[in-house]
Amino acid sequence: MNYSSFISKCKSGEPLAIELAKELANRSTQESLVPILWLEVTGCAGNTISLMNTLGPNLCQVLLQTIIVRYSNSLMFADTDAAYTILNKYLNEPGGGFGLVVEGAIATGNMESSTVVALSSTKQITALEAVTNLGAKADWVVAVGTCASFGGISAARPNPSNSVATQQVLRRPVINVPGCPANPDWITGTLFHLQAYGVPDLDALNRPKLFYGETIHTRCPRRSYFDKGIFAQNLGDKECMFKLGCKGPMTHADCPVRMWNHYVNWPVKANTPCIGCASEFFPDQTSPFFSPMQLATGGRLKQRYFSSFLVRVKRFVRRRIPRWHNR
Amino acid sequence: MAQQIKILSPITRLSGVISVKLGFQGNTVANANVITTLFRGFEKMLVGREATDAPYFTQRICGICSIAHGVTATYLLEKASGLKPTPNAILVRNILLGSEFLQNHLRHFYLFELPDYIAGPNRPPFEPRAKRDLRFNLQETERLLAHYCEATEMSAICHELSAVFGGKAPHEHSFLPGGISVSPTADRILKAKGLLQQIYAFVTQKLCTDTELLASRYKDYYNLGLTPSNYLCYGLFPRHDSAGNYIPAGAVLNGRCSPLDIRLITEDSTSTYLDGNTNYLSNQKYSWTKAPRYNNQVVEGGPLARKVLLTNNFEPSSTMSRIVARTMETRQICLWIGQWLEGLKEEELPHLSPATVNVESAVGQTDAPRGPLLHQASYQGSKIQQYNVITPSAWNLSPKDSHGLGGPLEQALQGTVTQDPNQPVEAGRIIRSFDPCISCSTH
Repeated sequence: MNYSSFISKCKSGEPLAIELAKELANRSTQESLVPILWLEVTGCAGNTISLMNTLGPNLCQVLLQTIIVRYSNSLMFADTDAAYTILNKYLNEPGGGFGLVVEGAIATGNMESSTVVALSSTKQITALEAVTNLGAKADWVVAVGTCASFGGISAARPNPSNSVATQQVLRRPVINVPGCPANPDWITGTLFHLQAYGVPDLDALNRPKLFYGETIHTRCPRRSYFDKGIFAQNLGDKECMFKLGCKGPMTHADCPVRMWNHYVNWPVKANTPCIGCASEFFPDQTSPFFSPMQLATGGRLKQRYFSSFLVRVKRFVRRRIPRWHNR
Repeated sequence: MAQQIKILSPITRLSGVISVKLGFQGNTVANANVITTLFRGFEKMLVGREATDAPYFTQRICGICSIAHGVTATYLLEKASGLKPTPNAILVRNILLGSEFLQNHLRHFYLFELPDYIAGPNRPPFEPRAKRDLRFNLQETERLLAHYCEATEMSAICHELSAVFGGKAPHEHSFLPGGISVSPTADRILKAKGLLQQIYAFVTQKLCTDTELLASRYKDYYNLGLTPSNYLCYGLFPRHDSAGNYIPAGAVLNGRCSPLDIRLITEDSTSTYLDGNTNYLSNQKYSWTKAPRYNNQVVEGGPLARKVLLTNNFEPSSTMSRIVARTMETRQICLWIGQWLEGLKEEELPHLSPATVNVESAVGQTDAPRGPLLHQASYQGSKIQQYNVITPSAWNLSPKDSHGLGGPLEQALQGTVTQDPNQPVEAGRIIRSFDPCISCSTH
C-alpha cells in the first residue's frame, strides 16, 4: 500500500488493520522465513503459554513479523479437517523447507498410542510417528521445554507413559531449549536466531550458550551469602537458600539476570529455592524440592557436575570465614 | 437408519490434544464421543514423593491453569499439616490465583474462541481455515482482530501481575503451605495496581463490548449446546476477614441449590483407558478421561456454574451463556483484585518453614478457571502413599459412564442440528465454549 492509497483509505473510512496485516504478511512471507510446525505432544502446553507471555515483541508481533507458524494446535485458526490436511501434507511430502518445534515428551513402547496428535477413520497419528517422520525431514528441530529436551515431568519416575526426550527418537542433532516452562525469550530468541543467523552456539547438551551458558548459582544475586557461608533458615529469609533445597548449582539457565514475565521476578527473588526446572535432572534428581542438593540426589549425580562445588561448600561451612580477596 | 460417522480431529485452539467422534442421523448429531488422546500418569508419579513436593509437581499437570493446581495442593497440605495463612497472605494468594483466571479467560475468549467467528489475516497461522457462518462485517472484523492483537499483550500482563507475587508464570513458586513467601511491599503493590488498571480498562472497554456484540450477533447459540444444567462449585477465593468464600461452594441439581458434600463424588472408568492399548474409535473405551459424577448425576463446572451459585439465579447452560458468564466473571475478578490490593497491609518478610504432614489423609479443593478442582492424598510419614486428582475438565469432558450417560460436552453436542455434517462449525463452537483442557482432564 503506498502513501496516497493509505490516505485515501483513511478518508473513505475503510478498515485498515486487515490491509496493514496483509502488507506485513507480504513483506515477511519472503523466502527467507522458514515455516514452523509446532507439535504439542506428551506435556502440558505450558511452553505455548510461555511463548504467549512474550512482551516486546508481543505474540502478535512475533506471529506477524518474526516467524510463520504453519501448524500449532493452540494458535492456528484452522480446525479439524483443515488442520488435519496441513499435518497430513507435511507427513506425506518428501520434506525439507520447514522447521520443527516439539513441545512435550514422546510416549513410546506399549504407550506409544496413548498420545495421538490427530486421528481419522483409518489411522491414528501418534506423537512418535509425527515426531520421527517430521523430525527426519525438517531443516532443523528444536525441543522446547524440559519434557521435550530431556523427558522432564512427563518422564518422571515410574514414567507411566514411557516418555522420552525428542533427541532419543531422532538420529540428528536436536536443539534443546529446556525450562519448565522455557522462558519466552529463550524460545523466541532461539527461533529468531535460527531464521536470522543460523544455528546458535550450543553447549554439550545442545542448549544455546546464549541462554544456558552458566549455572544459576554462578550468577545468583545471593551468591555472596553462599560464599560467606550464610544460609537462609526459612523461606522468606534473604540469604542463600542452598540449605532449603536450591538447585541453582546444578541448573544451567540465565534466570538470575533475565528474570521472568516481563523481567519482573524469578523464583529466588520470590524467596523460594530454584527447583532445577531447566536441568537435565528435573524432576527426579532435583527433588525433594526442599531438601539440600546432596540429600535430594542421594549422591546419584555424576561428580563432574558439582564435585568442585561440594568441596567449596564444605570448606566454607567449616571455616565460616569470608574470603573477599578471592571473589 | 445407520449413523453417518464424522471424526473431528484435531480440535484446535484449546489446551492439549482432543478429537470428537460424531454420529449423525441426517443433519442431527445422534451420538458424540469426546476422545482425549493424551496420558502422563501424575497420580502414579506422585506415589513415594515428599508430600511438600506436590504443589510444584502438580502444577505441571497444566500449562494454562498451573496456579490452580498449586493452590489446591497447598490447601490440601495445609489441612494435612494444620498450618494457617495470615489474613494478609490470604489476600496476596487470592490476587495470585485471580490474575491467573484473568489470563485464562482473556486467552480463551480472544485466542481460542473468537477465531471461530471471525476471519483473520491472510497468513499462517490465521489461514487456511474453514469459512462458514461468519456474521461480522468488515469493520467489526477489523476491530475484533485489533482486539485479538491487544489481548495477546494483555493476557501476558495478567501473568506479569501474578509473577509480581508468584516469582514466575506458568508454574508459580511462592504460594505455599502456611502463606506466601513474598511480602506485599509498597513497590509490589504499586506495580500490581498499575498492571491491574491496564487489564481492567481492556476488560471493560474491549472484552465486555466484544462479548455483547458476539452474543447479539449469534443469539441462536443460546439454544445450541444445551446441557442438563447441573452445576458444581467448590468455592473460590477464601475471605480474609471471615469464614467462607467470595464465590460460595454448592451444587445445583435439577435447578435446586444444595450445600456441597464431597462424599457424593464418584469416579467411573467404564469408557476410560487404564493402560496402553488404545483404539480411540472404539465405542467401549475411547478416552483417557475418567467420568466423575456427583450424586450419580452429570454435573458441570466453570464460570456459569459459579455465576449461578454467586447470584443464586438459575440459568440454563448453553454455548453463549457459558461464554457470557466467563466475561462477566473476568470483570468481577478485576474488581475483587482491586479490593484485595486496597486491603493489603505492608508487612515484614514472611518466614515459612516447609509443612510437616501429621494426618493419614486429606482433601483439598477449590475452583479452577474451568470448574471444580480436587486433590486428595494419603500419606505414610512425610511421603505420599496415594494421590488422586479430579479436574474440572474431567467433569466437563467426561466420557460415558456405566449408565451410558455422557458428560456435559457429549450431551451438549447430542441433538445439535448442523447445516453441513461434513463441516459442522457448530460443533467446534460448542466444544470451545467449555474451555476444554485435556492436559488437566487426563493428567
